[in-house]
Order: sequence, then structure tokens, then C-alpha cells
Amino acid sequence: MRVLVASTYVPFIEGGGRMIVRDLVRALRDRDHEVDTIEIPFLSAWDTMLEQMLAIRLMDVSAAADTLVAIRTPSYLLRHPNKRLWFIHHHRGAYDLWDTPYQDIPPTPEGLATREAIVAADNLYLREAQRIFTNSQIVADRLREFNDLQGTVLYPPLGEPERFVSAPAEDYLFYPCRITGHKRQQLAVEAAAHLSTDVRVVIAGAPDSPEQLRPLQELIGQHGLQDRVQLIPRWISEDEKAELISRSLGVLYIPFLEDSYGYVTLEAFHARKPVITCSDSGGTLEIIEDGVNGLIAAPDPISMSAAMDRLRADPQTAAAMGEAGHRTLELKDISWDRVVASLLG
Amino acid sequence: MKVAIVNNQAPFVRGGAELLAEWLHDKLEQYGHQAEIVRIPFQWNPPERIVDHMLSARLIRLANVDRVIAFKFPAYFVPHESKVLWLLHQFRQAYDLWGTPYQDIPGTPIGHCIRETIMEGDRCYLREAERIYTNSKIVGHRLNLYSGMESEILFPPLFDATPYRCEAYGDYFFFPSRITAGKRQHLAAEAMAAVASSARLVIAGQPETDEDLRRLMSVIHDYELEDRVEVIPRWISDDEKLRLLAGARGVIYLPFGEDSYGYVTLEAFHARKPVITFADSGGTLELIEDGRNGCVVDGIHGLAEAVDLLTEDDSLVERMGQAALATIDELEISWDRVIRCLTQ
Repeated sequence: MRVLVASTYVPFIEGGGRMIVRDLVRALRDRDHEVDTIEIPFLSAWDTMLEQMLAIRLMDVSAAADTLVAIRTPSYLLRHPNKRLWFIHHHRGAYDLWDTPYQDIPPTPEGLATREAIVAADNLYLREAQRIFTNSQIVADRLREFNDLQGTVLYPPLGEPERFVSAPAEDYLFYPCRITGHKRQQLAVEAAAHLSTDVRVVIAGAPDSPEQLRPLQELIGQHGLQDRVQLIPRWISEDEKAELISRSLGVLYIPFLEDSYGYVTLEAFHARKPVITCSDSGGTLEIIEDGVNGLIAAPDPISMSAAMDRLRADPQTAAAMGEAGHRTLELKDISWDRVVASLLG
Repeated sequence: MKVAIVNNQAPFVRGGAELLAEWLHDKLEQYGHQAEIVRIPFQWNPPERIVDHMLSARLIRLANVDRVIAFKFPAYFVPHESKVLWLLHQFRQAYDLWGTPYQDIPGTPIGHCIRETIMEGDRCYLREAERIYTNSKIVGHRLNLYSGMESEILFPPLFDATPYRCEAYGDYFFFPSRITAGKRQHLAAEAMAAVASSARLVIAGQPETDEDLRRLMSVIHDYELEDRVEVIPRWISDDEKLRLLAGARGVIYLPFGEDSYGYVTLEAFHARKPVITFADSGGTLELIEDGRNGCVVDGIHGLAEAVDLLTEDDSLVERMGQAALATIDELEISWDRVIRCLTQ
């Protein structure tokens, strides 16, 4: 089948949206489909957003393929007689983040009109799709709440799951992620100051800016955690990451209110490692079950440190939770076979 | 510098422009820049769509980019404060192809309106570019004629010229190209019937259709040229092409009315081979100078005479081969120049 995978992006910025396009293209080609992509530069600046949306609407790709799969908003504006959505998020500043500090449209007459037009376009054109899938339950809930649309959850699998294998657990918990405020590496370091076992913490990832890194280094200095917390403040390769996960006791993933469960969680489960997350982390709670395949802590250092100590104090239970995590992948059928069958079905 | 190479996109279709965009992308990165290819869909059928796509290109915002290099209509309408064009062509159906069988846009009132919109768009927005380079003289000539714009020529180099070599000036002429009526391999074969010397011809390339191959093979059969003309009717690997080039006496390349000089000519020059072309071949004439680095001839008999001339005079072939290689430096066909021009 000829399939067009459409999405939007900001040039020179790597994001989850681009990764999911690449992974999906590969998965489709592996199954002998003919694939091309339409990736449209799109800047989420409220004052030019409507004209950029019009730019996409004016493009005619309706005859170019049997099926069009639209991913990042508002690529669904492309006209196609057989359109499928794998919806990963709204323009949240106009929806659930409206009236929060993250509202990115001003409450001026122009701003209000822009917000209304974005919602109207979503209400009108999302309905052109024959099928709508979402990458998480949260996004499906928002579609129902704001647009009165029914989306089916279709979890994005890892691009190369075979990389992530298990090795005997050592004495550390691993937090691999871009270092930035809402991923809360700081909470992990603060928790390390309260540990009663000898468990260590390894934090690896590129800092968004030097300002994101400095507080972590200061905290480590203040609490004398140099032997306890190892900081690798740079981008690490997939091989490096897989290696560090494989030998870990467990994995930390404690973002603040994210939509998706995070590839980190899947990577850990493929490597049969339990995941510690927080009760306000959002999407992780869709697949992490407290005491079954990981631990859900309150977002404070004491609760976090208790969860971390628990894995170190009882490595057998930790290993059993890791096994349970691997079973979760099968139970939820998080696989490319399912994704491709759903999107093209 | 963050450079966006902006090209049109016809989904699932790959041609010369896509290849050039990929080469430029890799070279920009080699020269220390960050590069991304931005492909903007373009559908020109029905012709009303052309105007939609022009407007669409105008409404796109290319943020987080220091320099835009645009190739084609209408992608080159994309607004950017630092835009340079490496123009491969305007929308020819509105210009030099208007009034020919290739016009595509209907001659109705609406068709005229669409044509006028295209021309007006070019007149208004091409001026936004800081500089305009074209890939051939003819494209620059048309740009001046129809849109009143000045430009400079910037020949696209081969991605990597280092493996091209000359091992011998053998007894055969080489014609590497897709086998199709427009490239006129059948005329090269027919000319061999009029060649007095013992020269041979090797034609290699993927036939575009069965009919294209049948036309060529029937010429060979009719003139009983089986011993003089060898046809390799398939896509040949780079190694095969390099080897056949290295041992050839010269190269024959006879496209009809092409815009660009064609990579075949450039490959031959890198391998120090003179090139024989027709006076109506178009872009090849921008590189080939009759009697100096090749021969520009008319018709089958002109072609046969040139083949005989080059076959009988060893020192002439060598001299022309040297001049062919020198032509590349004289015209400064190099990535150094391309990157310098497009990023300055």
C-alpha cells in the first residue's frame, strides 16, 4: 500500500514528533508498504498560526497515496480521501493549558479570536479522518472533552526495542532523560540526600541550558552526594543508554504532568527493569502499576527516597517487578504490528 | 549556519532536483554547516491548484533557520529574511512552453488568469532573494527575459569527482544514459553505419520503455551493426560506469533541447574524455566547445565524421581530453564555489 506519513516540525529541533515519524516510516517499510513523508515546518506562534494552518490546508496531496496518516498537529489539515490520525497532542495553549501559566495566546480580542479559530478548525477538520488514534489515554480524554471526538489509544512502541536487554542488577538507579525543569532531576537528587540504603543514582542527559544543570551540581555539593549521585550531563548514545539501563537496579522517570508514558518507561520494561515514577507524572500512570511493575511515589524527596530504598533492600522483588514490566508490554500489545494494522485497517 | 534547502515535493517521485538537494545537504554539513531539506508538496493538476500552492508557500513560516536556499517554483516563494535561490527552473509551462504542446495550462480565460498570476508572482517575489544563481545559462537567460531579473550561473558539480579516471583512449565511444527517444541513442547507433574507421560504440542505460529499447535494437539489426554497437540495456553500477569511461576514446551525448549540461558531460570531462554532442542538445553546449574539448555536430553524418576524426588522430584526442579536464577548473565547477556562493 502507498502510505503518506504527515507531520509538522520546527527545523533543526529534534522532538518526539519527528522520532515517531521516523519509527513509523521504518515500521511501514519493514512490512513492504511504499512510504513517503510530508513534513511541514510549523511554528507554534499564535500570531501567525492561522495563516500557517491555511498554508497546510491549501496543499493538495489528495491523489498521492492510498492512505494518509497525520501525526503532529495541525498536519491533519491536509486534505485526503482516506485520512487516519495518530494524534499526539492538541495545541495545548488553546485547550487544557488555557488559563494556566503555560497559556501561550494572549487574552486580547485577537488572541481570543485565534483560540476560537484553532478550536473551530480542530472541530471541523479532525472529523475528516476515517479513524482517530491517540498516543495516550490523556490525549483521548481531551479529544472527548474538548472536541467531542472518540479516539482509540494506540501506544507508540520503541523504534528499536531489541537494543534493550537485561543484565544482572547492580547498585544504582538510572534516570536517562534530557535535563530540564519539568523532568525534575532535582527531585531525584534531593531524594538521594534522604536514602538509608547504599543505593546510588546515575543521571544522564543533555541539559537544555547551563541554568538547568547548575542547581543539580549545587545540590550535590551542598549535601555531599558526590559518591551517591553520578551526573553525566551530556547526550548519551542509544548504545550507552541501553548499557546503563541493562545493568541498573531500576529506572527513574518522574516528569511533571506529561501526556505520554515516555519512551524511558518502555526502554526499562524491555530490559526487565522496574520504574519509579511520581503520582503527578501523568502518562506514566497509564502503564506503571504501584508494587506490580514499578513504584509510584508522592512527588516529594521523602516518599521518593523510600521507593528507591525499597528496590535496593529487596532486589528479588525489584527483579520480579522488572519481569512484570516486560509482561505489561505484551498485555497492552505495544507493538509495531498492532500500530500498522490499526492505522491501515 | 543553519541552512534549509527548500525544494518542491511530488510525493513518491525522485529526480535530479531531489538528488541535488541531498548532495548539497551532505556538502553543507561537510563544510561545517547544519543543513535540513524542506520539501513542500506541489500539485499542478488541475491548473487551479498552482495558485493555491503559490499562496501556501507564501504562508509558510521557516523559523530557526539562518539561510534558505530555494530551488524551484513555487517553493521559492517561502518568505525568509535571508533567502538565496539556486534556480533549477521557473514554471516553464507559463513561459517558454506556453504556446507549445507542453503548455498544460489551458488557453481558456481562467488558464490565462493562472498564467498571469504565476508571472506576476515571479515578478513580485523573486526580488526578495538576496541573490539568484541558476544551474545553467538558459535558465538565467529565461529569468531575465520573462521576469527581468539578473542572476549568476552556478554549475552543479558531481558529488564526488575523485574516482573518475582516464586509463586509455581505447577503440570505443561510450554513451551512458537512460535509453529513451529524447536522448537519441538510436541516432548514435545509426551514425555508426556511416563511420569509416574501426571505431565501436557502447550504449549503457536502463531503457525507459520496451519500445525505446526496440527502436534502438531494430536500428542495429537493420544496419547489421551487431559487431560495432554494444548495448547494455540496464542500469549500470558506478564501478562499471567508471571502468567504461576510463577506457573510452570519447563520449557521445545527444539529448534533445535539455536545460542543464547533464552529468554525463561532466563525468566525461573529469575522466579526460572529449564529448561529441548535437548542436540542438541544449545545455551541453555551455560546456562543450567544438574542436577544443569535444565536437558539436549536426545530424548523423556530422556525428560519423567526428567519430572518425577522433579515432584517427591520437594526439588530437589527448589534447581535447586535457582541455576537457581544464574546462572544469576554468568554469570553477566545484563545491568550494557552490558552498561559498550559497552561504555568503
